[in-house]
Amino acid sequence: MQKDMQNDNSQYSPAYEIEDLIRQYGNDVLRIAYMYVKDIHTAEDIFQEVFIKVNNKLSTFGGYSSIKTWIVRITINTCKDYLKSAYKRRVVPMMEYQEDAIISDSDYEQIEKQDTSDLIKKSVLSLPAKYKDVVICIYFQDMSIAEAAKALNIAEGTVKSRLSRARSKLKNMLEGRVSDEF
Amino acid sequence: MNFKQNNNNEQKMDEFNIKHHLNTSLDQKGISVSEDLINRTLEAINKQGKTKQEEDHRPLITKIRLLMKVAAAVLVFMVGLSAIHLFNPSGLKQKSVNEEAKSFTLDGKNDIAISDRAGELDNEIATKEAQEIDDQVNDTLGSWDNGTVEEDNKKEPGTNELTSLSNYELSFTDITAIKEEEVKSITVKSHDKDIRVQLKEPVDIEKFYSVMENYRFKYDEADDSTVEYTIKLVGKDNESHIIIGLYTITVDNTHRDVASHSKYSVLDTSMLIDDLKEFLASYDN
Repeated sequence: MQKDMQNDNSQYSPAYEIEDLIRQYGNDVLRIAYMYVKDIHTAEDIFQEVFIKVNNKLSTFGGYSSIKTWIVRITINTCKDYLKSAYKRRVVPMMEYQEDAIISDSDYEQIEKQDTSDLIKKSVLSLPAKYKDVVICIYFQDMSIAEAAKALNIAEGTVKSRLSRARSKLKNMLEGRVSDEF
Repeated sequence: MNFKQNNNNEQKMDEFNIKHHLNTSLDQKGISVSEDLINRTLEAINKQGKTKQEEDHRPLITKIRLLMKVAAAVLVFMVGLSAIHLFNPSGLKQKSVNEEAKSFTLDGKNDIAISDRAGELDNEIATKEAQEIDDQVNDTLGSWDNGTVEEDNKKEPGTNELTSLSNYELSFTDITAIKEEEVKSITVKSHDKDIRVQLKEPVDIEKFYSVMENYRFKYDEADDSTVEYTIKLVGKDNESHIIIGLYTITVDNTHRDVASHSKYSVLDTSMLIDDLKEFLASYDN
């Protein structure tokens, strides 16, 4: 099914197929959206917006990448547009303040009390946007370097260098806190 | 925690097992798609589809009215601009003084034998007359300014009418005022990749319009110094220069001697930029 979708989008009849896409990639879209906007209600709004766009643009999908890469790209762009407009309105989600500011000793102490998964999630979400993009594509979505480059509209070399920098930042943040488990 | 390697590429090695931990954390928070969300989304898609169908059947008269309003706005702008040029104080004063000076020079030639004192008197007269001209200009400008203020005060509802233009969604043809069949050439330049493509074949022009007609443009006044793409459309006797930035789209249209300048925004600029990238990529051999 997925293979068919990737290779031939001409068979789509939106009324039925869009539901397949929602069911197949919906969780990925919602979770990626949540990792950007950090609020479940906003993430659900973005989820709807993404699939409305997917439905509208399905006929123009050129097959330059897999349908999944294409949907992930629309999701990331929609999230960034939302954050951009939120910034223009000077509305910053409260969680962003909390999660982007893991810098003081007390913050670290608090984080140490939380379980490893939550700590890693918070660390990934606290990465600067350009590093978070590649981590989400490569690690969370299992994309290849080439697919991530297409999804993020950047060169493969840029993906590699950002990934390397992201790993180094994550190491700095996580080492000594979850070291027992590594 | 185990080291997990997605593939042999060391670069991709997920040493923190990020995917697993992200999913675990998101599961704990209950971040997953519910049947209700799927149904709401399908409902929204169906609703949007119906609205789009209704919009497509919108009577032609509505579109004509919209175009007339845009044309009226451009006309008001042009008249305002011309009026400013016409009543520009420095320009008028300069012209008058130059003309006066010219006539005094001629007078000087005719009366070459007149004494220095006579020359001084001439200068005094010139200064006085220039002063009178200045006063006249100021009076004219004063009354014109007052009139404008009064008119502005009277025209507040009209201003609202213009403001309401920002609620209208315009097509690419609307904002460029050049129909697809009138286009002689299109030049698209990507400032990021430094790619430049010139299109002259009708099939290419049609392809370009089909990309741009997917978007609806709204009036926007935001400043945007970014430049992603520049597009030049050449028609029979008109041209359109478009700058696509990250936030706004600036359009400069010229039709013979008449020029207009407008700014727009689209709902999803990133998608437009992506679509243009894909469009250019298809010509980048």
